[in-house]
Amino acid sequence: MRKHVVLGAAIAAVTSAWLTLPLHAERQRPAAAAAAPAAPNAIMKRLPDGTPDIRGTWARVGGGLNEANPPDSELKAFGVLSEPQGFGQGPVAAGPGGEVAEARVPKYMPRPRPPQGIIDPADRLLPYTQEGRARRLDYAKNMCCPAKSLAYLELSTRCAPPQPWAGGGVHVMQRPGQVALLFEANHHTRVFYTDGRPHPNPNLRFFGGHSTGHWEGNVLVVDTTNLDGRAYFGVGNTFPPFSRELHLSERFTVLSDKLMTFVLTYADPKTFTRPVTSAGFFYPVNDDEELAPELSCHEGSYAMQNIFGF
Amino acid sequence: MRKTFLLIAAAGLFLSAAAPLLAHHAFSAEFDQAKPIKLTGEITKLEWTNPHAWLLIDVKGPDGKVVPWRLEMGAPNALLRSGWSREDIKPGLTVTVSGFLARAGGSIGNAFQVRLPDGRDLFAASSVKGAK
Amino acid sequence: MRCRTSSGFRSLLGVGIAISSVVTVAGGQTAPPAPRAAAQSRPTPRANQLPRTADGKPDFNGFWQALNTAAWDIQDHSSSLVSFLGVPPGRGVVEGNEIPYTPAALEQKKANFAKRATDDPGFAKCLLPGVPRATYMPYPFEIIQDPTMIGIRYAFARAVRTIDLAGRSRDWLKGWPDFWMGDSRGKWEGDTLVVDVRKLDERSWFDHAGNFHSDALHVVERYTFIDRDHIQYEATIDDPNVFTRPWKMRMPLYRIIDRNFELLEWDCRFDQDSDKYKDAIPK
Repeated sequence: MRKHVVLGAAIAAVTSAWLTLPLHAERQRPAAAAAAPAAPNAIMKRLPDGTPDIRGTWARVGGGLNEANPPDSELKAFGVLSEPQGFGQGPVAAGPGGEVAEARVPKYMPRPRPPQGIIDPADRLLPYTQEGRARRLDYAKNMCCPAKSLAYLELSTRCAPPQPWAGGGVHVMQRPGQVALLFEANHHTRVFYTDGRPHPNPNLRFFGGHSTGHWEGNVLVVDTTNLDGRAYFGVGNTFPPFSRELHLSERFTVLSDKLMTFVLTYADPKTFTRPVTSAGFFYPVNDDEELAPELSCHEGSYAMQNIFGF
Repeated sequence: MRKTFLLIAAAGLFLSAAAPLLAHHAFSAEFDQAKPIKLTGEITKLEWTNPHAWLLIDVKGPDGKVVPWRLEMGAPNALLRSGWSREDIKPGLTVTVSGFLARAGGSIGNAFQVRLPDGRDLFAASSVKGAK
Repeated sequence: MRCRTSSGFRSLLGVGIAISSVVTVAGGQTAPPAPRAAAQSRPTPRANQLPRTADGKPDFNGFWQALNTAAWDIQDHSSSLVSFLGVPPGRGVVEGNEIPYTPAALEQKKANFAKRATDDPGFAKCLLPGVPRATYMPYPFEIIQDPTMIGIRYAFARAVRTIDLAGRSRDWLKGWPDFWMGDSRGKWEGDTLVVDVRKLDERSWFDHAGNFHSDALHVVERYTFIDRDHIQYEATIDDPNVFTRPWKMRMPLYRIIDRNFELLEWDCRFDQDSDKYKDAIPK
C-alpha cells in the first residue's frame, strides 16, 4: 500500500504539470491566497479570472439517496434491485488467467473520506409526503416482475441518462460562462451556465433540467430547475420518482486540485416533507486511467426486445 | 492475507471511480428468476458492446439439433478495468453457462455463471480451480 | 487578457491565416492560386479578428452547425419522398461527387439505400451518428476547447466526443469495444486543428443514403477558421475494406450567434421507444 502512495505522489506531481499548462501559470495567484489544500502535493489551481481551475478527469463518490434502513414493508419489491446482475456485472476481481487482478487502488482517494450519502435528515430516512409515499408504493408494486407497463419500467433499463450523476469518469471543462461535465456512462452531460442567464420557460422539461451557477470564492453554487420528475436519481434500494416541482441545489467546494466536496439538496414539496441533502466528493482518476471512454447504451441494448418480445 | 485484502478492496472499490459504472437495474425485469437455465456449448462469438456484452454459444440439444443461444454479461467498460478483454473469450471454447431465461422467451438468457471445462469460472471472484 | 506572443510569431500566424483564408472550398468551386508568401512580418487585419486562446491557438469554442443536406446524402441528390418530410435536394459535399466503392461494397450501399427508411442507424433509429456524420447532421453542436482536450457535444442523440490534444497514447484502447463516436486525437498544424479518428464502430452510416464503412475506417478531420464565424471543415475518409482509395468531404460550418444559445437535451431514441412500447405489455 505504501508503495502505491509513494508512486502516486510522484505521478501526482507529473500530473499536476500536465493539467497545469503555461496557459495560466503566469496568472496563477499565490497558493497563500487559496484555501489550504489538505493532501500533500495538492495545490490550488486558478483560471486567469481567479476562479478555481477544476478542469480534468475526476471520479465521483456519493450524492445519492440510498436510505440507511428502508422500511421493509414498502420496499420488498425494490429488493430486486439488490439482486446480483449475473456474470461480469458485479465486482470482478479475477483476471483472464484466473489470477487475482491487481486491486485498482484509486491513487487520489482522499483519506479520511469526506462524508457521502444522505446527511440531512440525520437518520437517513427519506421524509416522504403522503403523496410521495403513495407514488413510491405504486412503483414498488408495479415495477417488477414483470413491470406492469412501460411507465413502470426503470428508466435505466430504457437508457435514459441518469441524474444528476452518471458513473465512470467525468471530464470537467470550463470556459467563460459555463462549467461542463462530460460523463462516461451513457455520454451524459451537464452544463452549469455561469453567465447570469435565467432558467428557461418552466414548461421546458428535461431529464437533466437546466442548471445555472456562480462562484462564491472556492465554492461553485448551482441551481437546477426544469426537471422532468420521471428522471431516475440513482438506483439502489429506493426508487423515488419525483414530481415536477423538484429543484436541485448544489454546492461544490474546491479544496485543491485533488479534492472537491459537494452537497446536493433535493427539494420537492410534493414528494418530501422537507429538503433532503446528500454529500459526496470528487477526486482525480488515476494517471494511467482511461479518460472516461464512450459507454453507449441505446446502441447495444436489447432490453426492450427482451422485456416486450419485439 | 494481502491477496485477500486486495480482493476485498477490489470488490468494494470496483473501479478506480468508486461510483458504479452503470445504474444497477433490476435484471428481473428482463430475465425470469423462476426459469433457470444451464447450458453447455461452444462459444461462437462475443458481442463486445456496451451496455452489456453478449456471449453467443451453440448448444447441441438432446435431439442433436444445434441451437444458438445469446447470454447477457457485464459491460465491457467495467470488465476491461479488471483486466479482461475480448481476446480472453475465444470462440471455440466450450463453456457451461448457468443463468436465467429472458422473459420474452427464445434462446436468450442472462449468464449468471460461466464455467470453463477445467472448472474455472470466467469473470468470477474465485480463482480456485474446481470450485463449486 | 491575452498572453503576449512575440511579434515574429504573430506575423507567422498572420501569414498562415492569410493563405488559408483565401482558399475557398465550397462544393464546385476551385481554389484560387495560393498568394505569394508575404515578405513582411506585418499581420493581416483578419488575423487579429480570429478568436484565439491565451496560448495563441484558434479558439473554436462555441456553437456551430453545417447548413447542407449531407446527413441525407453526401452526394448530389434530388428530393425524394422517403419517411416523413422526405429527403430535401442538395449538392453533395464529396470532392468530385464520387465515392470510390469496391464493386462488392457498392452492392452493399445499394442494399442499404433500398432499406434506408428502416435501417439508417441515424434518422431511422436515432443512434449515435459517428464521425463525420455528427458534424453534418442538421442540428447544432458545441465545441468546448481547452489546451489538453476538446469536447464536442452534439444536439443529435446527445452525442459526445472528446479529442485528446495532450498526445496520450492509444495503447490502452486495445481490447476496448469500438466507439460509435470513435477515438479522436488532435494536434495543431499551424492554425488548423487536425483530428485523427480511429476505432469507429462499423454500424454507423455516413448518411441516410446508405453510404457506409467498416471497422477499419480512419477519418482525418481538419478544422480551419475562414473568418471568426465560419470554419472550413474537411474530412478525409480511408477504409481499405470498402473503398479503393481515400476520398474527402468538405463544407463550411456556421457559427450560431443566437444570444444565450444552448443545446437542449434530446434523446430521440428514448422518444421512439416511448412511442413504440407505450401500449405494450411486458412479458
